[in-house]
Amino acid sequence: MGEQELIEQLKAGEEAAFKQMVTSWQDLVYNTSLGLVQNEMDAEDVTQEVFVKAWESIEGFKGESKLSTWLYRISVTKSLDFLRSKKRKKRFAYIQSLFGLNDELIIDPADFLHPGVKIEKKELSVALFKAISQLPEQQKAAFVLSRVEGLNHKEVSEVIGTTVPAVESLLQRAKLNLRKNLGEVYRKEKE
Amino acid sequence: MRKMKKNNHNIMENQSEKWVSQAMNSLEGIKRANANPFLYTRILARMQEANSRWEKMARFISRPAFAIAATALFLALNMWVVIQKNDKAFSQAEKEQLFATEYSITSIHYSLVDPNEVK
Repeated sequence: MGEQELIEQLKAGEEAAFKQMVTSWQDLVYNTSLGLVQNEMDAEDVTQEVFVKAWESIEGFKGESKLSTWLYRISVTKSLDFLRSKKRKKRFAYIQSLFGLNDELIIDPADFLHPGVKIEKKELSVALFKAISQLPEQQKAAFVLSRVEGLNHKEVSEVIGTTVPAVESLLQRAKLNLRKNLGEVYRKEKE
Repeated sequence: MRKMKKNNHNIMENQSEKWVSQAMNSLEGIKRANANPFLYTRILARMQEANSRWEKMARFISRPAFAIAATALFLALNMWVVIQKNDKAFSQAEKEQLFATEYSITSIHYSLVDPNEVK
């Protein structure tokens, strides 16, 4: 089924078309979410939300971009929404604990190990992903799309909705911030 | 001694730069992670659960008892607002009347006569 036909069938509410969309792009959506939220269970949850959202809003898809670009966009939005929500919940739980209203332990999540990283680079990648998690949202999205999903600058710009020079600037700043953060990590470990 | 410290610092900096560069390149050759093979089934289950929640809410709202209770509450709130407004107006007038009565003020009279002058 060609993409145009698939879009028409999705708009017509055909379940077979929806199933094809999911099976064709589930790894794309999952991997993007995983790179951003850095937790497999959370990434799966976000992935489900992305496809539900895509199904519900396919009527509004004008076909100005590829379906995959549209799915990337929803994945990035949902993943960043999830991270913001998680941060709010953590802050709220902390405030509750100050007042003795919440006895639950606030556990910091374990280090994230991406399943697709080469074995010999796993330990280093843990440090890098930790640094990625501290980037501002736009830099984080651009870096993950570029380095985890392997999109070129033009493709990243289409997903984020900005220009190629803006993406290059985002990536440049992301790299500077990551290098600075990693340098501090190294120095702390050596002390 | 100073030279040794500087050398050690330079070595540390070089090692740090090397480690940072290696970390920055650790995603080279990364493969895409695979989604759960049962993802589609889970998405369907999620959509069905969401639909049944909306259905339950719609059924509850459409019950006559709910409609009557909601209307009654709406009317009661409107009446309360109206009563509150009227109360404020009366109390202000009442206060003025009370003040006037207390100080026997029936009218205000201006005089040019000096009250300290003894006749």
